Amino acid sequence: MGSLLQTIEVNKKFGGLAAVTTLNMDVQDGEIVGLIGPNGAGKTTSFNLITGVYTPTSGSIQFQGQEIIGMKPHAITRLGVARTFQNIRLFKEMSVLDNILVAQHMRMGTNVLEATLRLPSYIKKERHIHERARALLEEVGLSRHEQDRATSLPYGKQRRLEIARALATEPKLLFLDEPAAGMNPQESVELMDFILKIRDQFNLTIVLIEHHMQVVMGVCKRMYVLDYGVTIAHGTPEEIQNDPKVIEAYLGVG
Amino acid sequence: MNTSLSKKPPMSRDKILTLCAAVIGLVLLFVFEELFDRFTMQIFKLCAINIILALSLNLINGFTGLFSLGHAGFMAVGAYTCAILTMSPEQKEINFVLVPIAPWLANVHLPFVPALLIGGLFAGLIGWILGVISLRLRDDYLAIATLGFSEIIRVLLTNAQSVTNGALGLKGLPRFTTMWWAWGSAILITLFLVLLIKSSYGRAFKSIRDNEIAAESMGIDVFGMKVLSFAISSFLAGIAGGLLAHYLTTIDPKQFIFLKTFDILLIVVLGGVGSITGSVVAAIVVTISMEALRFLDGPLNLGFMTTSGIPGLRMVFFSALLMVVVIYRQQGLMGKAEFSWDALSKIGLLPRRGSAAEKGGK
Repeated sequence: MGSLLQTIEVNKKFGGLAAVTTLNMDVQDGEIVGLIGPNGAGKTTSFNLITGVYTPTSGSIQFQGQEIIGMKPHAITRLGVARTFQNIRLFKEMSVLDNILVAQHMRMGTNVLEATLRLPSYIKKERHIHERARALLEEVGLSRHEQDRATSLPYGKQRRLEIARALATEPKLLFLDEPAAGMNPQESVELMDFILKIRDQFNLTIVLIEHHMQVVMGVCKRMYVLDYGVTIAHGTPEEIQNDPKVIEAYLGVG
Repeated sequence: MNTSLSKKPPMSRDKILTLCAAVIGLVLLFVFEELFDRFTMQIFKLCAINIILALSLNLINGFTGLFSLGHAGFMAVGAYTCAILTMSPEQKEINFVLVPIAPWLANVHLPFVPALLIGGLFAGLIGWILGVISLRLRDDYLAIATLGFSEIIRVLLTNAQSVTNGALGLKGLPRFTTMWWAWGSAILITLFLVLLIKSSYGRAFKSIRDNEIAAESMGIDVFGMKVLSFAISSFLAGIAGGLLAHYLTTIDPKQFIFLKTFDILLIVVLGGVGSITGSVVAAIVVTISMEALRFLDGPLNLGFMTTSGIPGLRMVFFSALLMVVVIYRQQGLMGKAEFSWDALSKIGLLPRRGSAAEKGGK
C-alpha cells in the first residue's frame, strides 16, 4: 500500500489571487478521500491541477511516483486518472452508449485507417468496447437509455452516466466533483452505496468533493478541508467535525 | 420470397434496399450521360465536386466543431498541384509566357490519378502544417486565422510566377474530369466519410465538438484529433480542387478567393452542420439552383417594367435563403440527422420493418 497520489507544496495563482496554497495531499491505494470546504475554497481548482487542466504555479504532483505536472489531461487520463465534473459535461449531441464508447477510444489502440476501413482487427476491438460499454451501463442502471441522447436523461441519471463514462477509461484513481449535487436524501444514500460498490468492484481509489456532509462523512475515511485555498485541516471525519478551525470556516466566528 | 425475407434478420431488408439504390444510381448515371447535352452534364459534374467540397468542410465545421474558413486555400493547393503535374511540357511552354517555368517542373508529366492524389496529399500536408499552427486557437479566432491562411495561399500563388504562372493562371488543361471520375470520387469520398464518422475516430471528433474539456479528460488527444480532422479535410478539399481544375480546364488565383469558401459554407449550413446526408442533398440542390436561377441575372420582365439585367441577383436569392434558414431553421435541412432506411419507414415512405415482410419488402 504505497501512496498513489501525492501533491507536494502545490500552489496556483491566477494573477494576484492565490487559488490554491501549499496543497499537500497524500492519497493511499484503495482509499476514499474527501475534499471539503466552503464555496470558492479551491476544491475544483485542486482537481483541475491534478488532472492537468491547469498547470500549478509551483510544486510537484506525483501519480504512482511519476511526476505529472506539465502532462496534458489526456495523457494523465491514460495513466489511470479519471474524473467527473461539477457542472455535468456530457457529450450532449451523442447517445448514452456513444458517450461511454468515446471514453474507451484511448484504450482501443487503433489507428485511423484500421478504423475507417473496418478491418477485422478493428471490428473485434469495436465489439469488445461495445460489450464493455453495455456492461458499464448495466452497472449504473442505464441500459434502457442506451440510444437516448445524453442530455435527455434526468439529472440524477446524467450524473451516473458521467461516472460510468469516467469508469470506461479504466482508471485507478477517480475524482468525483460533487457527485451528490442536486440529489435528494434517498438518492444520496444510494450514491454512497454506489461509490463503495464501484470502489471494490473496479479496485479504485476515490477522491471526492462534496458539500453533502452525510455523504462525505459516510464514505470517506479521511478528508482534507480547504478554505481560501489553504488546507486548514485534515483527518478522520470525527477529527474534522470537532476541529474549531473547520467550524469557524463553515459557520464564521461565533 | 415473402417467407424467406421474414426469416432473415432485419438488416437484410436494408441491405437489399441499399443494393437496389446503388444499382439504380449507377443506371441513372449511365442514362444521364446518354441523355443529357454537354452543358447539363457539366452542371451534373459540378454537383459531384461540390458534394466533395461540402463534405470536407462539414468534417471540420460540423463534426469536429472547428469553425474554419480556409477551404478555398486548400482547394487552390490541390488544383494547382494537380494541374501542373498533368500539363504536358509543350502546354507548359505555351502557358508560361511572362516568366518561364522553373526548370525542375518543366518536364514533369504525370497521368491524372497520381497527380490528383499528389495534389490531395500536398493540400493535406499544408492543412496539417497550418493546423498545427492555428488549431491552438478557438472559435472566431480560428476562423479569422484560417481565412488569413487561405488568402496567404492565394497571394503566394499569384506571386510564385515561375511555378504557378501568377495571375495569368493555367489554361488548356486536359479535360480529365469525366462524369465517372467526378461521381466516382464523390461516391468514394462519401463512403469514406460515412465510415470515418461511424468509427471510433468519428465519435472522438464529435466528442470534441460537444465538449472539448470533457473529451480531453476522457483521454482523447484533442489537439491531435483536431489536426487529424483538419488534415483529412484539407486532403479532400485538395482532391476536389484537382477535379475542379480538370473540369474547368483553366484555373487562376482569383477563383480561389475567400468567397469560394462561403459558397461551400452556404451548402453546409443549408444542408445541416454535422450531417453527411444534408451536405450531399444541399450540394446538389444549390448547384442546380445556381444554374436554374441564372435568368435572374439577365433582363427581367416584371409585368410593369423590364430591368436591364442585374448581374449577381441570383446570389441575392441565396443570401435571402440563408437568412431565412438561420432565423427559422438553424439546424438546416437535416440538422444532425442522417439518411437511413429506418428513418424513411418512420415518416411513412417505406413500410415499417415489421410489416415489410407482409408486403414483401420493396
